[in-house]
This record gives sequence, structure tokens and C-alpha cells, in this order.
Amino acid sequence: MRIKTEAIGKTFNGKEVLKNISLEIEENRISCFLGPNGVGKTTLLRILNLLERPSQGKIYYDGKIYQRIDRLSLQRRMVLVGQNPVMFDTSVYHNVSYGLRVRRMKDTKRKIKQALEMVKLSGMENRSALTLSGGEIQRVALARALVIKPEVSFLDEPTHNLDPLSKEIIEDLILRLKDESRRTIVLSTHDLLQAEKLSHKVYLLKEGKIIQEGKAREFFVFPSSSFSAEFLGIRNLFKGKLIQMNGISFLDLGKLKIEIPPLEKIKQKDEMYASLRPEEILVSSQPLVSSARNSFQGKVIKMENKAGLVELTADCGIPFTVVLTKRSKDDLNLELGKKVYLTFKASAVHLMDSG
Amino acid sequence: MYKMIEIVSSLDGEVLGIVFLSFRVSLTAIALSCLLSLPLSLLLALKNFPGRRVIISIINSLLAVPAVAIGLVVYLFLTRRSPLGALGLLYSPWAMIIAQGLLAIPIITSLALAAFRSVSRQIRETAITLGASLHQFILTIFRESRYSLAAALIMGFARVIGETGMTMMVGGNIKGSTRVMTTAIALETMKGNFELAITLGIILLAVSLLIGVPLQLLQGAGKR
Repeated sequence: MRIKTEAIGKTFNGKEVLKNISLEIEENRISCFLGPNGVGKTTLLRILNLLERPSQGKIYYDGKIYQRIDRLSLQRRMVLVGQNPVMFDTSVYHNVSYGLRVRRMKDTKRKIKQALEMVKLSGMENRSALTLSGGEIQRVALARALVIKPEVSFLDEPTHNLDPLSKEIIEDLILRLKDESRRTIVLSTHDLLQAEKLSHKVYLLKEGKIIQEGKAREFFVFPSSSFSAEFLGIRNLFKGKLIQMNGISFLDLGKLKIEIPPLEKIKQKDEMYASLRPEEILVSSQPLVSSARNSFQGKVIKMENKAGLVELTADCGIPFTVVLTKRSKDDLNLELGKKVYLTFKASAVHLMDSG
Repeated sequence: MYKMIEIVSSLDGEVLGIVFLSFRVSLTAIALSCLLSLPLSLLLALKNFPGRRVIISIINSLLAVPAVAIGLVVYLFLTRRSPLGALGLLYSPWAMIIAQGLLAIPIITSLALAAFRSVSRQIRETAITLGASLHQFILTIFRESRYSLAAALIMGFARVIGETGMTMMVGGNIKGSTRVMTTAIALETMKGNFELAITLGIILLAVSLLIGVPLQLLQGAGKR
């Protein structure tokens, strides 16, 4: 189903939460609303799923204005999984079968078995849904939605606050759906790396407006505004050439080489972008003996207090930004000009191709 | 004492008839009041319309109306000289059903309202987004609130089956026709016929216990 919006706005109690949203959801692709909390992502998804009415603007489903379509039949072509999904007070089986039952679809048992396999909860059919953990609830909710094979699925922060295992299972599932490219999915997240990983197209939202759209990696390289850059948390973004030495992969940044996770079949001299979260870098005043593959010596050139944390920039030939607590800073006696060692694992380096 | 055991063990026709009538009247009253109470409380729980709060506060104040007052109103409406007098309902089981039904309406409405309201917005929206039609949606609300809803019905039933004064006013306590457990106990006690009174009292007590235990369990289950 094609979904198109024209200048949608939403006002809650005089507060404008969405402004002038015009977009066209691509069919059989995964689109993503990216932005910090409270930016209107949830409201936008709810409006697209008809759970909320826009204050202004029009929505077209397959070219027809939504008021002109029978509400129930339209609703049955799409589904939304909320940020904190809830379970009906019954078994897992009956939760997952809900959408099938209301549509009087056949072959329920097999479909439910498949859906539970998909979220790695096989054999949980008879469990009471109220006894599930948070991660399991999210996965059952996903199975409950996807088992209907809706034309469009809206997933609001699908891995919000989840345990690492559930997060991985859900990301893998969405990745598989992304590769299959047979379902239209719209998801929201505040995590840029997740947006980049899981979706074909990203809409970056700020204060209820779409301020940039395209491929996530383009945002990295060409943030359209200082907000993009700041929200994206672009601190350590490097461009370099891929090289391999003795079977180990490096990114050659010119002044230094950083070791990166092993890559298969890389072409020599391929250009790549790499980013590194500031909190992944360890600061020490002496060289560290550790399993982390990257360690560089540098000089503190900038220190800034931010919400109880200290953001420190150290020049190791190229600048790295590191976040540490105020106590660590005091313990290390850090001050401008001081010599420090930065250490991080190869696996902390996030790679994006420049294509 | 011996006679009492004899009455209980043999459960003679008169006692059985009284017990049966009590249940018939009170169950019918509850069923009829549900016809009004459940749609009303569903509407009040799910729809926001002007006057909603007023209706809720009226229902809550009706909870405090004494049963005798309801008995009086029903009596005045059903007495021969009244508009409905021609129906000849006064001193019939139907008069008791009407009075008990009216007594139960505010109780069931207010408890069912609380039950329906306990179904969270997220649950309601989950049903909608998964494609429930209106009647499937309502069924889901019922299913999600089933424990508190059952508790509401049991509370209503317990209240009306134990009601005496009002039932006597409109039913007349006519032997074999409108004599129910409570009115029979009142009468037999006054007559000094304690054996029958105590027998019926024990049955009534047993009914309360049989109602009370599942009620407690349901309320516990609802709070889980």
C-alpha cells in the first residue's frame, strides 16, 4: 500500500508536535523516523496508523484520502507495534492469533508456530502472556503484528529498553525483512546506527519537522545542519582507506592506522567512513596493557563539562573525542596539554561504505 | 434442632420453592439490569461526551439511595390507581424483579464502569491496530475485564438476594407466590417459628459464602 502525506500537522493542547510533514512511504522498503525523544515520531506513526487524527493536512492511502475509505478495511491492511507493547490477559498463542481471528484467517496454528519461530520464542504458545519479560513481550508483540502479513507495519522504537539478546533477535529479524524487501515497514528510533543498519531511507526529525531525508550514511557525511551533526553525535568520524596486513584489517587515516573488525573480501584502497562513539574510548595516563587493539598517544587539547560528564578532545595526530565522568577526570589529573593514551577495541569502530 | 435437620435433609417442597423463587427473582433482576448497566457503563468508559461526568456522578449518588425508597417508588407506580396499575404487577414476582433490578442498576453500572476503565488505553489501541471490528473490540474489552466484571455481577446479585424490606413491600410475601428467603425468614422469626427461619437463614448464609469466596478469588485474580 502506498502512503502519502501532505502537510500533516498535529497540535496537542496548543502545543504543535508535528509541523508540515509531507512524505511518501516507499513500498516494500523500510523507512525510519530518526530523532531524539519527544520529537513527534510516535505521534506521526500513530497518525499514519489512524490511531490519531492529524490537526491539519491530508493522508492518502493508495491515492485515496483516508476519510473516503472504509476505516476497518483500511485498518486491517496495516498494524502498529507500540514502544511499550501490552499483552492481552491470555496465553501467548491467543495473543498472537488475535489479528488472525478478527480477520477470520485460516491455518492459524501453523502461522503462529512460524511467527513464534521468527522471534525465537518457539514452544511458548501456552505461556500466560502476562508472565513474559519485557524483551519477550516486545517479541511476541512483533510476532502478533507480523503474523497478519500486513501491507504496512509501523514499529515504534522496536528495541527500546530491551535486553541485548532481544535487541539482537529483533534487529536480525528486521534485517532479514530488509533483505527480502517484500514488506513495507516504517520504524522509529533515536539511534542513528540502528537507523542506518535497519532501514533503506531515513527521515531525520527535529521539533516536529522533517529536517533531512535520505540514506543515513549521507547524514554522517553531509549533515544538513548543526542540529543533524549534534544529534547524530558526530564526534569521531573518519574517512580512510581500507588496507589489510597479515590478515588484519586497518583503516588508514593518513596520520595513523586504526584496526577495524575483520572484513572479508575487501578491495584494497576502498574508501570507507568510520565512526567511533566517544564512550567507547578509554583514557589513561600510562600505556595500557589490554586486549584492545587500538592505542594511541595524544595530548589533551580541549575539555568541556556536559551534564555531569566531561567531553575531552585529544590530538593523536587526528583529534578524538572521548566522554568520561568527572571523577575519572579528577583521578587522572587531566588538564589541557597533558599527555594521555587512548585505547579502544577494533570492534568499537563502526564502518560505513562511502557509496 | 432435630426438626431443623429434618427440614434441611428433606428439603420439603415449601422450602425448595422459596429458595428457587429467590434465585429466579434475583437472577432475572440482575440479567435485566445488565441490559441497561453494561451498555451504559461501556459507553461511559469508552466515549467522552458532554454530560458524561454528570451521569457518572448521578449513578454514584444513586448507590446511596435506600432500598426502601426504591420499594416505595415501585409500589406507587404499580399500585392499582397508578398508570401501570392495570398491569396488575403489584404483589407478583415481577414487582420484586423490577425493584431488585432498579436497586442493582447503579451498583452494577458503577462497578462495571470501573472494570471497563481498568482496561488500559494501550490494550484498546492494540485491539484496534490489530484490526478488531467494533463488536470484536467490545468483546475484547469484556474479556480483558472479565474478573472485575464478574465481581460486579456477583456484588449486585448478593445485594439484591439479601434485600428484605423493599422486596416485602412490593412482593407482599405471599405464601407460594412471592415468598422469598429473606421475607420468609423475617416472617417466621416474628411468628416464633425458628426452625424454618434458621433453615432458610443457613441456606442464605451458604449462598453468601458461596458467592463471597469466588468473589474474593476473582478480585485477587483481577489485581494480579
